[in-house]
Amino acid sequence: MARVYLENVWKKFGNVVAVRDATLEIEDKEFLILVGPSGCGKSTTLRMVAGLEEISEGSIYIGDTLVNDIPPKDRDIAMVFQNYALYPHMDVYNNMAFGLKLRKFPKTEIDRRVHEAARILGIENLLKRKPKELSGGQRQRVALGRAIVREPKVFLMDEPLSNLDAKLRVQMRAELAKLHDRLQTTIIYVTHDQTEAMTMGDRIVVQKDGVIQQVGAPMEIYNRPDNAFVAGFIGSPAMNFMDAVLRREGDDLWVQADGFKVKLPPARFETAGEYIDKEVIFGIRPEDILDLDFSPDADPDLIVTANVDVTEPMGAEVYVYLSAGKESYIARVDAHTRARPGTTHKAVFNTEKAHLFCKDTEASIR
Amino acid sequence: MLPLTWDIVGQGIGEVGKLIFFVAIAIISLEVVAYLILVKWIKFKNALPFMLMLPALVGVAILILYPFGFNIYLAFSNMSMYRFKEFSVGLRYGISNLLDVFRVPVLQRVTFFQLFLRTFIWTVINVVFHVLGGLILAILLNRPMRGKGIYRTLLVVPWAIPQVIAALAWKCEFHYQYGFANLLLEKLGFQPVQWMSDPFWAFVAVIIVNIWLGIPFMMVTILGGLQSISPDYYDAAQIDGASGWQQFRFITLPLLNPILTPAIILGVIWTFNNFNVIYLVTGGGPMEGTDILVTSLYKAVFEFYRYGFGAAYSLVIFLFLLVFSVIYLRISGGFKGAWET
Repeated sequence: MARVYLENVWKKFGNVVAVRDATLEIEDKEFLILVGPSGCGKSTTLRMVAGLEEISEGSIYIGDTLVNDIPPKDRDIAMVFQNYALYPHMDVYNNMAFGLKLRKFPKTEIDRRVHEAARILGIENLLKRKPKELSGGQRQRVALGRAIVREPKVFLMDEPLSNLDAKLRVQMRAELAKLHDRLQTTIIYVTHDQTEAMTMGDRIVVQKDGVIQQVGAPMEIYNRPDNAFVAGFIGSPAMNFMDAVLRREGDDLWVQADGFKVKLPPARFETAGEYIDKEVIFGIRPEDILDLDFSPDADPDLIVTANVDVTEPMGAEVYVYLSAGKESYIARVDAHTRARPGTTHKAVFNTEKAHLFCKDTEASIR
Repeated sequence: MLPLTWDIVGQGIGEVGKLIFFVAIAIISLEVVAYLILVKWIKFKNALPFMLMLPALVGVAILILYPFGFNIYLAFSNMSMYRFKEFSVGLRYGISNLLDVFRVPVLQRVTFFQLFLRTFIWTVINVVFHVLGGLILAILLNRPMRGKGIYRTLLVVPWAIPQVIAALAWKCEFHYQYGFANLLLEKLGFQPVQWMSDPFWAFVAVIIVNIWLGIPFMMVTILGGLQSISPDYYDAAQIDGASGWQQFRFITLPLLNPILTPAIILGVIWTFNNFNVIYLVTGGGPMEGTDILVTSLYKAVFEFYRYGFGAAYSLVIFLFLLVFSVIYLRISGGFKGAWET
């Protein structure tokens, strides 16, 4: 049983609060992602679980044991570091075996485990090499191997893929997910890359300024963000935000922004009723802004005419940078769009999927 | 002493300026000649690097190669105080000089072998304490603490003071009656020691002075090495289950090796060759009891005026250092970086 439980955990460096009152339960065998911008406290949280950073307040449990005062070596965890931290003076075999040797495992057992891990990771032919003779991807595998041989209760990974080139990162992403299925261990994974967060984890924890913003399954966080920060951080290109005012006209609810006005679905009355005639933040994801050419049956109340500033062809689709009034926003449309820079184009806002956020608290209105 | 007037200052600047002017003229003419030969005449395709290195090469030749060659020449001569201008050069003089090094007392009583053993003990004790002391202080300084800069500055002071001044100051501290060494011993309830008249204690005294002088260099060097070790390795080692001692043994020491190796080689060579401390504190005495190879070499040449013999003697000492350096470089893998990633 390797549940990890953080209870009202704080970390302060002098007057700076790095982690603020974090409470989080990580299930046994779960792949949990901590994501957020730099300095949001995600690495500090991980290092507190590892025991490399003291806890200022609160408790951390691994399994059922309170580990606040237990040194890292006795926590039954393994960690993969961003720059791998492979011991430069040891070959791959000894890098992987080091932890087992210090724990006085019998030689045959060490040998078995190292070879087993090397086989899983496909690095059997590298065992005699020094870290400096390895490529970035190979080092990454050795760092994983060093964690695997320990057969720990919990794996902690601190941005393990961020030093790899883009292609290798995509490949290792899938491999790590596979590895998790195979090892059936709890993994806590820190990243600043929302793509990694979306694709790999069972659940995502979004952190900002030391505060946990939202915890949930990837698609849940994507579709139902709790606040504007989470909405903007998860998803690429990021969600468009516009300052707007809610208006009631007859039986309809409208969003009035500088340069356009679109109708909201009637169901919004229930949730957003109290914001009528008040300023809100209107959020809509790029894929929910449609090209009128491809949606000819669109409700005319949802159509916005905008200037096309830039188009970014991505192959299968095009990111179209539109502006209307003082607001500019990105639409993600089919590659066959006729939108050209310098012209005006008609877009359809799919307000069924739009988000509204309170102007003051940035909390989601729903 | 003359008062410092503007005339004297101007004269000084003028003399330095003249020197710089002549050096500049020499370098320019050297480069012109090199340009004509390398580029115009033989059209060498790596001419530029050679031309850039040329002034340094000439400097090395004048300051090292020529004196070295002249030393070998003298070793094969019978030059001495009696034959200062009319000395002869020949193989037999060289052989007899070399044999004399091992055959007769180098000075009045100590032989080469006694001196060699003493130099060996001197070097080993000094370097061991330099490295240990430097290592301990560097590790202490490499931790977050208040007033680190002040400690570091104070600890570097022995290195910053000119050796001559430090050595003479220490000499006074070993005075039988007034030196703090004996005052301290008496306060602690011990008998005062005859620091300057008992050969054993004199040797202890010079070793203490040299240890004091040598620790800062090792400390600063090792501190640099420690700071270049990424803290991530210690994080990883902690997770791997290494205790404090194991982290030192398996992470710090191996990663310091590329710094320690050249530092120890330099330390051994400097200590082996250390002339100042012994000559200034004890003058090699009492009864040649604290002389090591280099001080006896100096005395043989400049106090006993045995130039040919001294030159041969210096070659023998040079060979020891050469052999030592080569062996040490082989064993330790030399200056190969162990931690470049």
